[in-house]
Amino acid sequence: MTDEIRQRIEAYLGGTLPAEEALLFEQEMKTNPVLLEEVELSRQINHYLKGDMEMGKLPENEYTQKLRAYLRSEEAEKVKASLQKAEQDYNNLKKPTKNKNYLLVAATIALLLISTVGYNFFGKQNPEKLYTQYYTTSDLPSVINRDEDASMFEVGVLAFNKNEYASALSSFENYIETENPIDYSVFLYSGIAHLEMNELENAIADFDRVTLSNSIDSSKGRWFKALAYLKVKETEKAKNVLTEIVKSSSNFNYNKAKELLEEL
Amino acid sequence: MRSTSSEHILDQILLGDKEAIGSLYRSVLPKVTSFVLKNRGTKDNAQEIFQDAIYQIIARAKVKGLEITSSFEAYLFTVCKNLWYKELNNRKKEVRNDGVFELKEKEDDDISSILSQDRWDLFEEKLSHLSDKCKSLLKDYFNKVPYDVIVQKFSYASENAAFQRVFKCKKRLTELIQKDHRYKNLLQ
Repeated sequence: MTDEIRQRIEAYLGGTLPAEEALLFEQEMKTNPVLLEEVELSRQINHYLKGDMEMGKLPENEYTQKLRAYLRSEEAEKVKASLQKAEQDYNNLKKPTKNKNYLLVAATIALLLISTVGYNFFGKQNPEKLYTQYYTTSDLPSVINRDEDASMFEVGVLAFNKNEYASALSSFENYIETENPIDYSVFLYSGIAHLEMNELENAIADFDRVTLSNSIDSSKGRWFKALAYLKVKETEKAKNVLTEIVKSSSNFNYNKAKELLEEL
Repeated sequence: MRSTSSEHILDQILLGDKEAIGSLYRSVLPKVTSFVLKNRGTKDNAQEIFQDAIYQIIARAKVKGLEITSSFEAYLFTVCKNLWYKELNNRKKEVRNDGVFELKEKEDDDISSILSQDRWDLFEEKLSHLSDKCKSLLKDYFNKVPYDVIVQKFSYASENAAFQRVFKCKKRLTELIQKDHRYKNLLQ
């Protein structure tokens, strides 16, 4: 490639070649693949130096064939799916908390009214009220900021703290599935989230997993299981679990369990 | 020079590590979003190109291996920027075609973007072999900095001398690119 031709290419791309010469030049490109290639490269370099990307015709060669094969593979499909999941998680995390305060206040008042009526009528503590009285998130293990990078567990707890239980549950499931954690705290959170979504069976299953584990939190499983039964007004079942707890003073919330048994 | 932490992050995302991918969303996507918003795009546009960028990086790494010399986050941001410029160019073309445009298949689109980014990487590497003066002269010239400004800035005797210099620098860059065996696969 002579300097003279290179200068003509530059003039052609820069639009400074007179119209007639430009036409001739284009004719020449059509019949001369070497020249065409040089012009294309030159154009690409100019675009690159300008800081933008140019779309061109797609070549068919070994590399593009391999890329095509990869993009059609099951593996690529999985990659795409996991990226979509990551985007969803990110968006759930960023979602501003909905203003549910008014509803919450109204619901609390309604609950208080109902439970007062219930108390006066039956002369006994309403189990649901006992649940709200005894349930406290401070009994849950703290998980935030254990690591610099938030795990799906922490992402879930963030949603949990904002009362976004469905989103929290999907993060917890994800975490349990991928991490297969030995740390059973996640099941406590997951159980309460299920409970808040009125899925008693799932909640109980989660608390039982904690109870059956050998973790330091294992006796917390029973405590939350008892509370779960209170919430759905299954007083007898709650009593049974509480009776288990008061068998050993080393159990979590031993004193509170005794108190509760007396009130029921 | 290969960056070890980039290599580490790349390995993690190739293994489908959700934590690593999630952490990229948190650290890089906000920057990409603010860039796209400043350049006639929306939040959704940003998320779309961000996902495409990671997807394409994974495909490139799987098919032929990928070396990243900067930090992974910086590289990902560059890829996103390039994808957005490409998208803006496409918009222009669609308008120019007076509404008659074929909706290219996503696969072709991905491959074309991958090739563009491969070229960009190659050009960037070759440009780094030129002298500093050549580099900034070329960038000024192709970004339409007026000749008289260039003549002054680089103290050339005349506009013609400046143009001769631009020509030589670009010729050098072109030759370096053509000599590289990777260039063959990227030809259009």
